[in-house]
Amino acid sequence: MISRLKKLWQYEPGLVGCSVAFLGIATICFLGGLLIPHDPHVQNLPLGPTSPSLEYWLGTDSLGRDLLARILQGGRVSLLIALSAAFIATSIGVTYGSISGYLGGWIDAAMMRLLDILYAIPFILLVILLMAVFGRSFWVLFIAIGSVQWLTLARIVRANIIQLKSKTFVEAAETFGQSRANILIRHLLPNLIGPVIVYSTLLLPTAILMESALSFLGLGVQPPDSSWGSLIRDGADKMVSYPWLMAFPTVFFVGTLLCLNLLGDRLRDHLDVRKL
Amino acid sequence: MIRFILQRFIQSVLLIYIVATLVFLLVRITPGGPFSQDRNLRPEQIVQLEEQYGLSETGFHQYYKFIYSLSPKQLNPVGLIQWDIEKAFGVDLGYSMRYEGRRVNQLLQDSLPTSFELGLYALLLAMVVGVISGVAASVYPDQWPDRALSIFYTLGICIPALALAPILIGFFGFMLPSSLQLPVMHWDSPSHKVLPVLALSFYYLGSLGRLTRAYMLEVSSAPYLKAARAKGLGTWKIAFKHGLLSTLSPIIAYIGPTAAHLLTGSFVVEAIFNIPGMGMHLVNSALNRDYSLLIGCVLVYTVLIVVLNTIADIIAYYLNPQSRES
Repeated sequence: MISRLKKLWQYEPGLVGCSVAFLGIATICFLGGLLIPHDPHVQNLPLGPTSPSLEYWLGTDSLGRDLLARILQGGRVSLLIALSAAFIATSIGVTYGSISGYLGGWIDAAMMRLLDILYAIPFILLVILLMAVFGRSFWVLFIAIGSVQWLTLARIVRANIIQLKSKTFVEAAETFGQSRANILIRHLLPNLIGPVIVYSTLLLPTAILMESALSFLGLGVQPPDSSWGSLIRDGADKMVSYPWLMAFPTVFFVGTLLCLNLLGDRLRDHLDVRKL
Repeated sequence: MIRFILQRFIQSVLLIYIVATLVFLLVRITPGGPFSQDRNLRPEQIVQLEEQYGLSETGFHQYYKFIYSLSPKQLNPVGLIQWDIEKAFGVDLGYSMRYEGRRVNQLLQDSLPTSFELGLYALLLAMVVGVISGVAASVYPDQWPDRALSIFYTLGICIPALALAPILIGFFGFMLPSSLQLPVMHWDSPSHKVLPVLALSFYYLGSLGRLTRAYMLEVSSAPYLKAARAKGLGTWKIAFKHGLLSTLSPIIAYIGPTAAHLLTGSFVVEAIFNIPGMGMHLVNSALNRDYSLLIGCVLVYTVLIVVLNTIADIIAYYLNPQSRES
């Protein structure tokens, strides 16, 4: 295990670097909150906005709340929503794509037609509508984002399954009388781990973008909770007088997106996934 | 070709009705109505208001009326140029539930051109700069221009409008000497439009540049390009005259979905720069549960996107010789 990691570091320093950086950000967000003495929600009105100091490392916002604690809390929300949305999207996409590709025939044609239709629907509008109609809760947010991001993955999985199912190992399994479900789950899907990992990784920044845009508009995470999008919004309003309120959340936000996008690219090159 | 266009047209019309149905269902199945949040209304007032907006009838009847009111009854090109939905299609979207006495058609007519202009400029900028620089990057693979552009593109997809716009405002609006500053609010003179368009287009510039570069590198080993090189044609001439032509159709096919994606950014950009466009109406109506305005915005956006998608599809189909011949 260690020697394999060492080899990976030797040949793919970018891949390892990006993974470590992303894991670092995630760890800071999820565990860092325990180490900071400040609560993200506790206000200190007489204190008001202060610039970074030893007591408050990244300063405080206009209600006297510790900015670092709020950024970490916002990061937890952003990452949790992105991870669960990517998980939902991956599950739906893999199931849909593999069934469509493996069964083929008119079922495949019908399923792909439906996918074409779904592709053309501007989902951001429906998500906004959902948020307006069902209230702006965490659950609605990640289910809404997750259920619109699976389309590309379904196409990729289908294309790969179609390519694989004419291979001899599938024929062999069929000769042995294995059931179709068994062949799909035990023999075909394990071969798709590469592309699925790559595209799920690339789903994360997309989900983060969508969540932050909604939160930025006030349609996502609601106060007193924060997410990176809503923190940037709050910071942008007071940017001229208190620039750190905007600068620090932006650094975390852009840094995470950078890590995830580079990680996805490196993974694609490393696992040699064909672009579709 | 004609068959393809006809097929796409029918598909688009169907799609718009599917979205309209989804919208209707989403809005109607929820427990709270648009007036349930107003605490100071007496129950009988709510009943009266709901009657006034046609919310008290049965679901099916409401659906029928909804679909009927949205269906185009005429087609008048003059109305299209004036952004007047009623004049162009004979569609009346009713009255806003929050802006009292204001018609949704009027609100949209006032805001639609601004949003359209913003989106169009951003898309054009992203296309022109993204495609040309992508071709340039592919001419020097793994040399410094390619490296520099790749970093630029990656930054583009990592700094979305909501992060870029405040940075641009801070820099161009406050840090530069006042003779060089640009206005950071509203949408009047051309100088007002620079920053919003830049903020909106940067992300798409990055992704289009990456896409163009990747496609160009893919075709660069194709035999016909090798033949062109063997003939002694210049590198740039090959790239722009022969390479770009074959990558054009995937790029144009990409524009359709991008136009839809651009909306998310344009809502954000309109909010930051205080631009009185449709995004502002959409967001405010979603926050206030102003259903008639919300539905109007969603449907107008849907129609715009579907039309753009269809046009992009038809152009891509026409550009692809394989599909043209069959």
